[in-house]
Amino acid sequence: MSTHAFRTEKYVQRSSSGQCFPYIRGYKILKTIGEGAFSTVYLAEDLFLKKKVALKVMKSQTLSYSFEDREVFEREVKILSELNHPYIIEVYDYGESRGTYYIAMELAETDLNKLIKTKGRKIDSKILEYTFIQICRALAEAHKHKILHRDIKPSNILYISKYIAKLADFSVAKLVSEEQFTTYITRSIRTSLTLVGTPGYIAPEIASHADKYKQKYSEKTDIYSLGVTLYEAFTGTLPTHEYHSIRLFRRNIPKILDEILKAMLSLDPDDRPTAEKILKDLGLNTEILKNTNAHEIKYMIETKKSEIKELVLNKLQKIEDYLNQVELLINEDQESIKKIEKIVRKIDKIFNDLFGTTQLADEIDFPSNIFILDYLTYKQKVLENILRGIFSEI
Amino acid sequence: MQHVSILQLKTLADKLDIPVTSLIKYTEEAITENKLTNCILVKDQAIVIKIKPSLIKFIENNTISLNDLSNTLKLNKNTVRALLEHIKKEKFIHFYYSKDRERIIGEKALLNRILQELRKNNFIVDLSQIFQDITISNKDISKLIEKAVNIYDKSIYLKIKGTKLLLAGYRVKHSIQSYIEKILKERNEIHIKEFSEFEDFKPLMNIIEKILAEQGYIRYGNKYVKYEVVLEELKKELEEKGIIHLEVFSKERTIDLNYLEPLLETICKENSTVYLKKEKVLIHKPVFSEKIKQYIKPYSRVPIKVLAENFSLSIKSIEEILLEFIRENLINAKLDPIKEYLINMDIAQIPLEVTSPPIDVARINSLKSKVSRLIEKVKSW
Repeated sequence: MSTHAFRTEKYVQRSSSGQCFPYIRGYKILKTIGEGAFSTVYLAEDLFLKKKVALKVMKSQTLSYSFEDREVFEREVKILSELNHPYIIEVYDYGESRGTYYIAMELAETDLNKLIKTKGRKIDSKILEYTFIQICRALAEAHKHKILHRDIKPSNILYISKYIAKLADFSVAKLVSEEQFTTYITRSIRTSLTLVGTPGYIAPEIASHADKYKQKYSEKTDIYSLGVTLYEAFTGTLPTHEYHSIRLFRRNIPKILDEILKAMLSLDPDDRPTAEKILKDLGLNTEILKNTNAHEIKYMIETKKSEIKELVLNKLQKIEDYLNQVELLINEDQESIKKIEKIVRKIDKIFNDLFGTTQLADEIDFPSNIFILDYLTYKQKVLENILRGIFSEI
Repeated sequence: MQHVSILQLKTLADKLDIPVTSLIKYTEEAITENKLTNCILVKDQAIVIKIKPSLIKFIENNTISLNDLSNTLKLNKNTVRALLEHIKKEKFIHFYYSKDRERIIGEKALLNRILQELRKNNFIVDLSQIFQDITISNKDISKLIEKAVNIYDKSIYLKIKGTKLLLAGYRVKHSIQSYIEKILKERNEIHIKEFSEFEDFKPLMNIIEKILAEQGYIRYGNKYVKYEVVLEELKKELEEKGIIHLEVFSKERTIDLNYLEPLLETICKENSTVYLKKEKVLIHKPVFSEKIKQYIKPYSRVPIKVLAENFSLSIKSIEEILLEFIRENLINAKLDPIKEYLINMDIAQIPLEVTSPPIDVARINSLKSKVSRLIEKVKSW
């Protein structure tokens, strides 16, 4: 029996039917849904609000919590309370109950790790594109607050609904000072100067023994981990030393996303973009959340729709004009026609996605729906690239 | 008809048994204080004259000598003068003296005389005879003329040069026409100087130019010449340059484009010439297509934008022209699908196999319907 199991059983209460339910201050623990190095996550019921929550209970190495255990707990609570963001998991409550530290959090339906395991490469590309944007936004927010996550991996990307992904588990995250932010040398709380993160997702500069990279933690290490996580989600496999385009696995993924992912997986941290740069490269407004309300987002979505429509209609009408001059077409045009067929297919596919995404606007509340605007903006950029690229080639 | 009534102050003073001098004084005070309106006091004769409205009307409508007026009013001439001065001072009515001050001319009478002249419908009206014997300021002359012209025709344009008027409008068009016809008699060109006295009166010059155009003359530099002369030059330049921007052409030669434009029909009747009305550009197809050929000769493709800039045409116009040239096989080129480039087919790589299959029309039609479905889809989003 683990120490932790022993601790939980201290609070087991017996119901009239004889069924056992452990309780932690106002929460009825229903089942274990995750197990980490420092904590266990339970599905629990908030007895006061009668709603299901994820209850994270801290593990201790001994029978009672040490000073270090308390520090781990307090750090995560502090970090999560600093980050109030639509794509970072929300903390409802936290505290200590009879010697047990707990955090009540938003309950997720599933996580990216489970999706990869159950669906492999068949996860809907559109959902992964949403996730890409949402988690980049979450990470940009954390980095803005000088917080390094240090353990980004598929199981820490939770889905609270089919379309909304949130970054979770800041238990090994670190709040660093401005000057330390980009060149932070990690010191684990539990064991000084040791490795933090999950093998396979750790950036090479952390995992490597080469002096050049040794133990230098920075925002770029988070970017690498996110790159690995997303690469795995798109392809079903971890990236190899040499980058293989995700477009080999998913042909419809826009070039721009592939290029960004490739840069995120650069071995040299200096070659990796920051989360903010990724958002900018996708054409997204990094300041969108500031002073924005639900009405404004709705209006911005409508405006964006009009912009995209105008952009695409303009080009489609030109294509239509061209096709109407059949008598002028010559053999050399065969190639052009092939390209037009390709572009029409692409636009059609993108518009199917856009139709689906804008329909979500009625289902998803503000501020979670910000990704809809982001997605439209990013697709606008993709469309611009496709239209520009094709036309200059012809 | 009595135009005035007269009160003898002496008779009244006797009746009231007061000294006449006192009565004169009271009367004077009463007039000063406006207690006796339209009255004047003639002290030396001890009379008060009250002016009746009929006198105002009478003076207004007539030209009359002071002697006749003296007889009519049964007042001596000096009293009449005093009376008139009073009227003038009080501005009851406008009238003017003759230069010897022996006659007066009422304003309405003067207006009628001007109107009589105007109604002859001449565009040049000389009123010097009317005003030569009248003491009147230039300002008053202008005012009177303006008043008269307004009665004559509210829509007519007027230019006053002293006592001479220039008119421009429908009612005097015949007069302008006959004036021009007289000048034009058997002449091929007219120097602009011949209209110098009208040049500062734009409405009249417009009418003159319109009439000249009707007669087949068009302004060309300092002259009005037969339009064939201009067209001949236009044609010569067009055949030389292949493209003429009419705005530049007409500006350089002081030709009014509004008159030139309707004449272009004769040039454009020929198949080889195109007129781009919106941009006011004439294009000679064989020459211009040759220019395009020369321009694109070194390149396999030239951006349409560059061509448009080079020939100072809009992108839309150059596209249309190029399409026409391609259709008529004037240039061996083609437009790329989105019309961003003109591809020079003399240089662009053409498949070696001449017998390669032609464009699959069915495939294009299917693509066309896909595109229109997609357009509808995007519109419905």
